[in-house]
Amino acid sequence: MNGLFLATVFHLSVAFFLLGMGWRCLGWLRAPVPLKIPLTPGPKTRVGVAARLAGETIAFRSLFRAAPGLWVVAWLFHLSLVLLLIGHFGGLVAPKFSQRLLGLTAEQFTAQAQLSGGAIGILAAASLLGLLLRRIASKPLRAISTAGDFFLLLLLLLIVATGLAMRFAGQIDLREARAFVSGMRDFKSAVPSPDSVFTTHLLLVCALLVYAPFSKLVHMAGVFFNPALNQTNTPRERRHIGSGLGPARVVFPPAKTP
Amino acid sequence: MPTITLSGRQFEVDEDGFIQDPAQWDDAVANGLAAGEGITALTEDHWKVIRYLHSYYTEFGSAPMIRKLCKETGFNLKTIYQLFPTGPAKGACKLAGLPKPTGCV
Amino acid sequence: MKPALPPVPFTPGASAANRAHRAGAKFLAPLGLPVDLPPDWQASALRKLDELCQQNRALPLYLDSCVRCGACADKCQFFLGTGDPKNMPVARAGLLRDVYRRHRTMGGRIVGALGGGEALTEQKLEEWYVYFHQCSECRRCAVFCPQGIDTAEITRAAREIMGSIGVATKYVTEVLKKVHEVGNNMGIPEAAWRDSCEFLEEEMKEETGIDIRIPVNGEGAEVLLVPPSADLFANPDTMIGYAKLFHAAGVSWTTSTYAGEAGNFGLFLNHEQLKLVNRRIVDAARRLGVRRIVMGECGHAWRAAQAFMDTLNGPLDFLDPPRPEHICEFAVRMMEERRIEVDPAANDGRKVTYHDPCNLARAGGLVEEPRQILRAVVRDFREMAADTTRGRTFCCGAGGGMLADELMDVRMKGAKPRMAAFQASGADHVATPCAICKAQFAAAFQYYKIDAQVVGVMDLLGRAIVIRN
Repeated sequence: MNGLFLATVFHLSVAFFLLGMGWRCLGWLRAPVPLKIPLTPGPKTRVGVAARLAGETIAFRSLFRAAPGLWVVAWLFHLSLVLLLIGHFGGLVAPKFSQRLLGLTAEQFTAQAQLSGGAIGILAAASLLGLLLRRIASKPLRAISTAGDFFLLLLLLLIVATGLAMRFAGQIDLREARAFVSGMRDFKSAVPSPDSVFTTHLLLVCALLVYAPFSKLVHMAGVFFNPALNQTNTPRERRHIGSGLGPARVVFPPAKTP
Repeated sequence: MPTITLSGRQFEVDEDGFIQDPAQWDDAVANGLAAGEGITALTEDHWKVIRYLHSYYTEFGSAPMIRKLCKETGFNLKTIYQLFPTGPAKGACKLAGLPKPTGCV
Repeated sequence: MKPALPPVPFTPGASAANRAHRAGAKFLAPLGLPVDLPPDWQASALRKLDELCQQNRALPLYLDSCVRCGACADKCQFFLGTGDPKNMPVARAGLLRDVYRRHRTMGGRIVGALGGGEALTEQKLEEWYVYFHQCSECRRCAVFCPQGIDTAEITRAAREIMGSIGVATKYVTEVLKKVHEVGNNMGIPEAAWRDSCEFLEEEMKEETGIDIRIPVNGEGAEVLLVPPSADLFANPDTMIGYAKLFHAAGVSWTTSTYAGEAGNFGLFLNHEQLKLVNRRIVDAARRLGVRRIVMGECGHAWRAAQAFMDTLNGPLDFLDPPRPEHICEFAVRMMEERRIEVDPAANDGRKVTYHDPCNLARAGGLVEEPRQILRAVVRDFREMAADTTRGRTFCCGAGGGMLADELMDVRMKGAKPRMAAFQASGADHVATPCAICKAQFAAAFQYYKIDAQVVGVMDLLGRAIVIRN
């Protein structure tokens, strides 16, 4: 497929994703937080709040206490996503820099990319399958799952599957892929897509990026805005000014003096 | 508002069968409501509790503290539950024509 | 913890029929709520949803970012007890989320049902009414949610929306009406309030031979004590505990018949009532000229006081220090300053455990003080399993405006996890500083045929405190 077209679609998708997520965050920020509602016992300092949020977003602390089995799968899935993102960036967008950073020869670097990319891809696929099976196999989970939940899992699975296909089925030429990505990055060349699997992979990612701001994927940003987690437990130390809610109407006659 | 008929008279009651107007209350109401609270026949002991509750309500506008009810009638809580299986705040107050005590009880 | 009671099977609709009595005009009108479903109720409700989404960040945030992972499902005592899938917090929130997605998100508006949403129909409203009154706003699900989504906020919003179209429970609205008309949840008028206090003074005189007062509307006292009015009806020993504590500490205090209620059922209905009921305490404190507000043994009262009072009706700079204090904090302070002495022998023979009221532990941050008191006044104090205490405590099953007789079925089912943990502890007394918990435990002990007693923390302190003339 035409490289310039793909590049345009990809850049627009990224821009849409960033603007969309920003728009969703702004939407939340526009609404005030009328009351102090931290979950207690909770941190009393900003540092404590940062630690609480770090614990939730890095270690999934609450999920670990709630469902250790799910925690393993969910945490590995999110970890693999982050690693894949780093790997794609390092291996495709900034390969020279990454190679220098790792102190490898070009050959070693490629071999390393093939190995880790493949391994992490398999991890991602396995954890996604685990999440999907869980939704299908468990009665309570089936009851709460929506079409959107399945759509998202399938979309992610397809993305990972096409990625793995490039790695294991028809070994993709990494140099071609890099050339295409750097052309796309600099927005000047019109290098054609290496192959149709690559094109599909890229377009599915674009679909995910465009869908994300409308979907539950906003949870990646939402958790930081949650007053139950990000407020300090200090209602009595510092007055919380709860803007936004109008004054309560008095519907009763003025009270008698006690 | 639902109503019940006791010995030929109609009474407005709430969802739990408490009569709405305590001024309408008399012995016939207590007798009429007893069966519904798992009481076969009202004895002197029942009447002692019922009369105390009703007079307290007439004077103070609410049910007495449960401990005061026990002390004034000479019955401990267990005995009151034996007399009124649904308890002092339900069966006893209902038979005495009081509105249902609600709140955190 | 091994549950002593068998688990309940997953049963759709299991608790759909257990609904609270609807409030009639008699109770809706005084609260300024429409007495009939308005003809345009759907539009009205959606407008209210809109308004709340603009006024409270948590609401749209929670509706947007739930990933339906299901971690909350088996954390809710009402799902554990009833097995009804709609009592899974994620599904309960889903009842509102469906309508929100259809009407408030771009996807829902464009593609309608395909966007995953559902219209607000009469059937939906009925589901809201049933299941948003089978949530005690206890926040246990939030503790286990990887996003920290607090279903209590969603339940509060749903009830506020329903209230705005005249759909509310009789129990909550009747209690609120009494608060405004009489000054407390029980509807105890001033004469009866005074009579009850005098009666307890006589009781204490008989027991100790000493005049221990329970002052009423005493101007210029140091402390305004705000108890749940249930203490003056069903929990006399708690009331006696407060009186002995203030007496022994030598701190002047008073109750108020204007603010004779710690509880705030506004938390169970709408923001306006939350604010108005809360204001009564601030107004009473100002008029009586007290320096401190001390909240009695009521769970959600503490949330409304410690977390919301300053925001809603502050600043509280007429108080010194400018914030409310909990009776357990006060008692601990008195013990630490050696202004009271206790003798735990007075409670010998009692095997006591502590139940954390959900609002004290998860919304009030009060977990250590009651334990400090209990360790001082009881020699056999034991904890329940760690996954059922402190921040992870189970709700007793009747908080959040659910303590109505007609909800007994779901109440008793919801009490099950707590009862199992209690039985496993081997205790024969549970101490808990909350009137709702006390009433619910008494009913649940009877229902599950557990031979045990529920008491207040102050009850045990009152017995152990050394009283001098």
